[in-house]
Amino acid sequence: MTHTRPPVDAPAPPAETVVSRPRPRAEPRDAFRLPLLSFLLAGCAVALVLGVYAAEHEPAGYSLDVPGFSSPLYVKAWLTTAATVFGVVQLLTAARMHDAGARPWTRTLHRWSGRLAVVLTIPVVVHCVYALGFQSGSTRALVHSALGCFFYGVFVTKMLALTRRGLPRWVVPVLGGAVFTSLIALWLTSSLWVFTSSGFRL
Amino acid sequence: MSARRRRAASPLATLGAVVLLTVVLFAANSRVDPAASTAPAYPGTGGAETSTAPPSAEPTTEPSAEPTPTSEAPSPPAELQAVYAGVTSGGEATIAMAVNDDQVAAYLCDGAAIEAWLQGTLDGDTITLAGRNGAGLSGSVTDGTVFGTVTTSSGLTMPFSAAESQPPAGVYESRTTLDGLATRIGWAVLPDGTQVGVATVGDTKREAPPLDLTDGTFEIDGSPGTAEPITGSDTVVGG
Repeated sequence: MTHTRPPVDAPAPPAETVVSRPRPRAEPRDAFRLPLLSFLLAGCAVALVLGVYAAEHEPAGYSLDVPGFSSPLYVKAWLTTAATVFGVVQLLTAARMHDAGARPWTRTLHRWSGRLAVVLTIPVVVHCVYALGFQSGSTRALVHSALGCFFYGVFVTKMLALTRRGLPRWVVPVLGGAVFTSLIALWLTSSLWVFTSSGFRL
Repeated sequence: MSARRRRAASPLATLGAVVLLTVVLFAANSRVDPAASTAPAYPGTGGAETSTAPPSAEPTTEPSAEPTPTSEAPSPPAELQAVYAGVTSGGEATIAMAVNDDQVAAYLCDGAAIEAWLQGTLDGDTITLAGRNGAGLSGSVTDGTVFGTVTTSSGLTMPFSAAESQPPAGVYESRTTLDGLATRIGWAVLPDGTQVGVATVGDTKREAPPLDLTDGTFEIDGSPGTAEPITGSDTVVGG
């Protein structure tokens, strides 16, 4: 009878450490709320600033030309297409980011394809915002303009969310999914539209 | 631990790099922009950005386009709007102006390469308008007709007269994108429906497409567009 007691007491300390490992600082269950809210607000602010600037700024009509392409329009169409290809790589590697059995290069591939994708979109968005501005003349232009602002807002939110541990597991996939979906929609409303209406060429 | 810290820092590094690249590209654009826009002297191009342009690159000829409301507005409150339309004395160009209380917006063009967007005020019977790069207009209203002188940004000065007119006379404007280039089209329309317009695609000017005055639609290079009638309080210079 007395034999059984020590074994009962003995496993207790290890069990406690197992329980406390996920929450080392004993944060309340919803401690993520405020940081997550601030990340979302930061994303909203970025989207809003982009949109308001694009709408209020007088379109310059000016664009930096890149040799090898037939026009600035096609530079943008192809940069967006390349970014979208990297975006698809993002989608394929995203599910394996936290898979312990995934090959080690999966995470590197995910991070660098994402960086390349967003860097490729920057010359495009600078031209869009600076030379053209927020346009609502057609449904395509309106959807594209709004989605462009949304894309960078969600991107900023996701980058900020990645810096914080302890967020619920759904946060990063949802944000990443929103970034990916808006990127695809941006491609559909710009590059695909150019390729189908003006011709598929460099 | 170090891997964990790196994981926390790398999204911020990505974010920082993205912001940096964006700022650099914006700066590069706004630095080159004034040089590109002063040569063709397109009244609506460049230089109007409020905060991003480097202060040294701002064109010095920027006129104050903000109409200053005067307390003694001459026109009676009932008559909010008026349109004046006419041609320059040599027949070189057509001009139309829209008056809204004491605020005036005008458009002058020859249907090919000369155009000027002008903005200003009506003070008593004196109209004073300014456009980009030295463009301007001064005139006076006498018996429902504006007589005056208009100067384009290229330095061309022309006397003109414009009579008070009924629709479809007026100033029409459309902003759109053509082949990835910012496009602004202006039309000056006379009361008999005669329309003269210039389309500025990127930095090249050409004759504007015909405007359907019944619904404001037009077609340029195969793509449809819509033009809006301009009132005196619309911003046509800067903004």
